[in-house]
Amino acid sequence: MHPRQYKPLLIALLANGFLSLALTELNHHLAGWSITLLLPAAFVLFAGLNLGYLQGLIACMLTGFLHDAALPVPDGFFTLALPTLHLAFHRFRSKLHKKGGLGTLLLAQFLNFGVLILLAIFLSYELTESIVRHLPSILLQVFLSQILLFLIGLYFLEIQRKLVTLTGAGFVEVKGRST
Amino acid sequence: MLLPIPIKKALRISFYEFQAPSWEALSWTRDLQNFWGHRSESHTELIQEGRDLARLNGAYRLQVMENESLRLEVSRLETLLDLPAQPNFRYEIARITHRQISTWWHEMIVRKGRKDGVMEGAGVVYAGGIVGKVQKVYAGTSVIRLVTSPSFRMVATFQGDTQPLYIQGWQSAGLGTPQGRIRNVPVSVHLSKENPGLLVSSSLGGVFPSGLHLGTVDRLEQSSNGLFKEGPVAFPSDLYHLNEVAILVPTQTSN
Repeated sequence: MHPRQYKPLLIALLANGFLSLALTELNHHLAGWSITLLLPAAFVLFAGLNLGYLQGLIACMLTGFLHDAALPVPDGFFTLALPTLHLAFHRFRSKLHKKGGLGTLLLAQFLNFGVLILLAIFLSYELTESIVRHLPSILLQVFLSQILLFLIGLYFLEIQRKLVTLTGAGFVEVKGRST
Repeated sequence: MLLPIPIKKALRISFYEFQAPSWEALSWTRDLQNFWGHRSESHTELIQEGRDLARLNGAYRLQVMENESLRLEVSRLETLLDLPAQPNFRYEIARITHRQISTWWHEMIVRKGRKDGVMEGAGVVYAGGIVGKVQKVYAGTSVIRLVTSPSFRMVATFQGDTQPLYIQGWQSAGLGTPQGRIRNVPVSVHLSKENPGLLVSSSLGGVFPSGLHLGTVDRLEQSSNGLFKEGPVAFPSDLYHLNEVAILVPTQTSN
């Protein structure tokens, strides 16, 4: 494989690192209200829609490792969740626009919601009271995460696509609709 | 999830250490932003702040002298009564790189680690009282488990009392309200909003010196076993907004 073909993968990894850092900073400021926002679907948008399966899988797995190390989640949660999301995007990429679009946004929202609910179920054993008492705050955090994903998801995807174009690296030709 | 534990641990530590410098950089940037923010303050404001600090310094100097004479008195009594020496601590000041507080987790990451002598299980305090304990130590950073974390437990007493009580962190259903739970309170204790109880640390656990402020309790109810009382503890509201803490590093005593 020509080294130029690794550029999109490196861009995906760097972009995911920056988004992860930005989320860390946002959550630092939201900590005063006991709120943490998580956007697992945002990290796989570019990898799922614009990278080859193997490159996308590598990007998602490495991002998952970073998340698992940074957050006190069950071991390997994001390392398994992100490649699964990537698989879902890859499965539907022939029906989605590479640049995003409504279908991509809806799928990202659905998958993000699913991962957050799954994480809530995984962590519910740590609660000191009934989950019903904490349901409003959990749902608020999920709702805010979904809103944030809606606001930045497609911009984040577009930035990565622009970077790939700027660096002169080509996209892997795969089945998919272009806009 | 399927990997052997040592590999999982090694992976977690490697990826943590890999991204730790970026968190530190983020924290330094925040400090720099603060610095430039203060640079724009007028000379009058700075003079006023300097005057206030000088007054505080004067008051603290008096307290240090008082503390020193009390420390010598305690030391003299320990020798006289042949008591084991109280643990001594060195205060390692640490800036917070970021906070991770939600329904599920209550922790902060600080810019001091193994190379600064920080150890797992060390107590963490701030000007308003107790923050938590060091949960994990890495090369240049440490993870602090907050006093509000459900897995946090410590011994405390009511101010002016010696009866040891047991404090556990508690996930608050409300947003941004640090909360805990006090257990093993004798049934003879009666508290109300007009007459709340002030909780302070106890040196029994060996992690914290005694007398550090913890929180207040204004309501107690019968525990399930009927032998004791228990109730919610309200920790200081600024606990979730800290930027700097002090880690208690135990020092060797001369005795």
